[in-house]
Amino acid sequence: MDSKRNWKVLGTSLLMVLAVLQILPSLVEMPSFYTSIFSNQLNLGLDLKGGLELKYTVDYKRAIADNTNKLRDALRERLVDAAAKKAGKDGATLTNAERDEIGKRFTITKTGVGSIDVAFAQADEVALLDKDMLDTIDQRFELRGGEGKASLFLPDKAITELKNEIVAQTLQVVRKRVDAFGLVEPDVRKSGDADIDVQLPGLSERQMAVVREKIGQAAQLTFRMVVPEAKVFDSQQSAVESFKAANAEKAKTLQWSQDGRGAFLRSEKKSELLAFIKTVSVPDNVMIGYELVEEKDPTSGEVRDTYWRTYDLQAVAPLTGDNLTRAAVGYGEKGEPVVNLEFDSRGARIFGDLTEKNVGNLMAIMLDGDVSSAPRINERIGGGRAQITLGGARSVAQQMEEARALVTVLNNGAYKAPVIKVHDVEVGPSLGRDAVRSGMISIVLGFILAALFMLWYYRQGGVIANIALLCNLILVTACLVAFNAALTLPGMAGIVLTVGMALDANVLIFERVREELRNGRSVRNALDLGYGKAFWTIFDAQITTAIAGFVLMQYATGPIYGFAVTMLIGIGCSMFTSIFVTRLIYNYLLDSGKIGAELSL
Amino acid sequence: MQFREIFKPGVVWDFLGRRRVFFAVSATMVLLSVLSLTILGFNKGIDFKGGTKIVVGFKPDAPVEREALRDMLGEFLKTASGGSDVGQIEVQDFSVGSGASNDSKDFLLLTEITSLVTDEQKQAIIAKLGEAFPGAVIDVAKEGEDRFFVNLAAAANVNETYEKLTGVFGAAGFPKITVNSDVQRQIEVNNYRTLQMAATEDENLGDAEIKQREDAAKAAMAEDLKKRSDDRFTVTIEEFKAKLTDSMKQKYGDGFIAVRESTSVSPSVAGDMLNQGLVAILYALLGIVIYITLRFDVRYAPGAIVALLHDVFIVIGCFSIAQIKFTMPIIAAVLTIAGYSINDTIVVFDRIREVIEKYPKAPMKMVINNAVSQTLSRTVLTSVTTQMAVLSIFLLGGGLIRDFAFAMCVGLVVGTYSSIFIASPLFLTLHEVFEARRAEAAATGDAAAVARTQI
Repeated sequence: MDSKRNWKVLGTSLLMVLAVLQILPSLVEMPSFYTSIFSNQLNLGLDLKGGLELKYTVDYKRAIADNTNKLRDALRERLVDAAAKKAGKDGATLTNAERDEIGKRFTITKTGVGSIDVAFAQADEVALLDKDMLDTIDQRFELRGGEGKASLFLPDKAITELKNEIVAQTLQVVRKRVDAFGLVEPDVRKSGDADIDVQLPGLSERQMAVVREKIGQAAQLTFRMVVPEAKVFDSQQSAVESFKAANAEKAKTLQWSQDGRGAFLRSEKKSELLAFIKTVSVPDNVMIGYELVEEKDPTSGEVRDTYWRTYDLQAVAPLTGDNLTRAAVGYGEKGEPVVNLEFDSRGARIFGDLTEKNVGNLMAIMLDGDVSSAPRINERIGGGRAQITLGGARSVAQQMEEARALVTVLNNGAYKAPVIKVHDVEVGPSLGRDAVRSGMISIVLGFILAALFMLWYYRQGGVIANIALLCNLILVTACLVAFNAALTLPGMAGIVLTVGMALDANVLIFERVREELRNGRSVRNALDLGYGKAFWTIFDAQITTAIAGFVLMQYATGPIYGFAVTMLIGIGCSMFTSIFVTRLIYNYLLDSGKIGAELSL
Repeated sequence: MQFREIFKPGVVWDFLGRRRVFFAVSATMVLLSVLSLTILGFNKGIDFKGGTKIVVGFKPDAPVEREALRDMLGEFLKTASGGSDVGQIEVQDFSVGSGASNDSKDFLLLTEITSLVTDEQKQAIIAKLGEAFPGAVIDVAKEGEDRFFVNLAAAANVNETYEKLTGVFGAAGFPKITVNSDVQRQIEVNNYRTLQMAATEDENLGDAEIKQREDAAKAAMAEDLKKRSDDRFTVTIEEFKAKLTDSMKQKYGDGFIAVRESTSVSPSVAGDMLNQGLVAILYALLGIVIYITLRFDVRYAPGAIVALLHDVFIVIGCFSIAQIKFTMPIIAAVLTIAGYSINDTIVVFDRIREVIEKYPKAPMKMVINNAVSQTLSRTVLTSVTTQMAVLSIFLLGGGLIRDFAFAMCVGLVVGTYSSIFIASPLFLTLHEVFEARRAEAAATGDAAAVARTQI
């Protein structure tokens, strides 16, 4: 019994010491060896300390143009189907060559961001394109007919609506991404016509860099096959040499290279590749992809060389992130973090077909403009699963962080329109120094009042409860530091309330003990019974509250999420300190004979 | 042994005798809250309603203080908008710490007021625009922003149209306007993109060089724009900016540089976020019902839930009736109250269960009165201790945190009241319903029904 108790005392003391160690860097300047172990500092929220303000502008025109492109592509298919039907054939049974033949009768050109012209080779086919057909593709467009041609356009109202819709969707995705980074209480708003303002409380430099990068990322995931017959660079060897001679500074590490699949370019800097490729004419159906390659020593696994290289890829992506159901962090063959992708049924089918047709070829998995990996397809891959490996000669911890961030971004969807950062500045707190000071004073005073009241009402019991309260405060703060939560003024007031709950647990216990004492039990006996009976009451009450907290954490975002986490931390800590710690103190007092037949309560 | 005691132990009060009266009182309060919520609604803050974001720049040595700036803006808005409630104002320093610029001291101001132009003035402008641009479609932005969308019948030269628009608005009494066109925006966006690409691809690029490129890009853009034409223009009346600039100049003289930006901002709490929160609360309630049913039994759950909803409704009702600004921290307060309310109710229920186990044959009324009386001193004690802390925040803390404390104050009182006078009596009512059903089943001799109603 005694040794068990000693272990409890030892464990509790250790925990408290750890908590204090965790908090110290937030209070005073600590030497570097110390901060290398306890690196986290208590983050203050936007209201107390300020943070970063980022402004993004939404390039909605691009999205409207994409939408028009989609209409253009769909329109051709529909017209071919309709023409075939008119001739008494079924469009679905035609061969690709036949479809192409019919398709030549329609010249479809995009004339503006939201307008398309269709020219018909056979005048009697103008009637094929009516408003009904258009409505099945995109109801927002209007149709204007003419001699042997038709024009489709988005009316002004529709453009405005579409713009608002795109900006609103983008805002929502930005918000989701920011929220997904955890306990920060960010501020995300639409400002002006098509801009998005984001304020982030002061995180650590590294976290800040990750968040910044992930907000800006379009996160458009695409899968493209390498086009071996494109041979874009096969004849460029001499061109590279002359380019290097002309631009010594801009193309220092640019190299023409060749492997079993054909020629490619490599360089230490992507900018060098881009500069040269501007001078090359790339066919319409091919796009150039860039990958950061790490060459590892096969035996030691050490990175020998890193460079950017090019791939000749399909311009049109057969499969995109739209068909993704879920992304999750997983582990690769060597236990390194990777991102596992799961497709919906349509995506799985496309992926299966694509891999079946391209055995032996390379498939590039691209995130935005860059190839994240280009594995060789050895056989048909069914089941709709794929994997993204994370490059970069970084530590596993950094890869893990990268994998988590990527999963977050992929699961929250890609932007409908690209966002472009306009500015990135630090901002000060939203609450004035006076408001912060008076808020702090009131909170501290509130604490003292509650503590004094406990002292007056329960005497020695009050002292013990107040010791537990202090431990509770230390633990809650240590948890906030460890979880990198941002503390706001309302958050602090919320802590006062968890303190209320912690005191409540002690009140429950003490009232029980008093009842037992009144029933004539001995001090030791009354304490045992009091703690025993009060425990389940406290347990039920706190668990019910915790259920609410858990649910809020699952479903809510932003400040409500932050609140739920703080509440859960508070519940856990207060259960521990007000039941366990006070009991330890009482046990010590009983065993050392400092409490006799009388209990000061 | 002597204890300090609020209530004499062993005394049993009758809490149930007037339960109908308490039910009626609570029902009235909840009804009033709901009525106020539907008629008056919330007095929404910037977080929920949006507002105007203004950035002002001062010389680094100008004697500008945040607090003074806030007061100044309050005064300005009061005179400019005609003496009504100016609402929430937030002031933030720009460029603190490492990012601080040496050339200017900037501040970010957030206000609720979005427009200083009246609806009649807007109508007059629309009429004039119609005359100046025959065939154009003219729209005004919703939500009180001073923004006009002019869609011309045919594309016209950008610069010429800018001048024409400036003329029309000037004649209407608003000489300060900003005109933007789709083509200008696209050029700007393209510029940002190129600059960003350059910065990410060439790490060696210094800040000075980026700035230089930025300026060059701007100049090229202005040149480019002269040749372009467009049919879609957006005009923003800078009434706010103009008046604020005047008043800043008056107050700070040479120390003031310019109002750099003045744009409307949307709420930071989106409507769907609130809906999500509501769904979350529904699930939370469901979880609580399940837990209580498992740990206690079915008769307890409705009391706890009704008490919880009762507390939440009355608190937000108070906010609506008093028209106190509803901000983000208030949501946290309401959630805290919900947690507190459950906590309080469960403690009383726990004691009821215990007394039932001890005296299974005792009448339920007596059991409940006993249980509530026994826990009364704890209920009041906890309430008083927490109330002390909250009251001190309410009395000393200012602004936002004061409203937070107000919500907590009301919530604590209502929460304590509801766990004594609503949750337990409701439990009794439910118990009576179950009993009646069981008696009925027993009378008809239906053994299965008796078993079903057995708790």
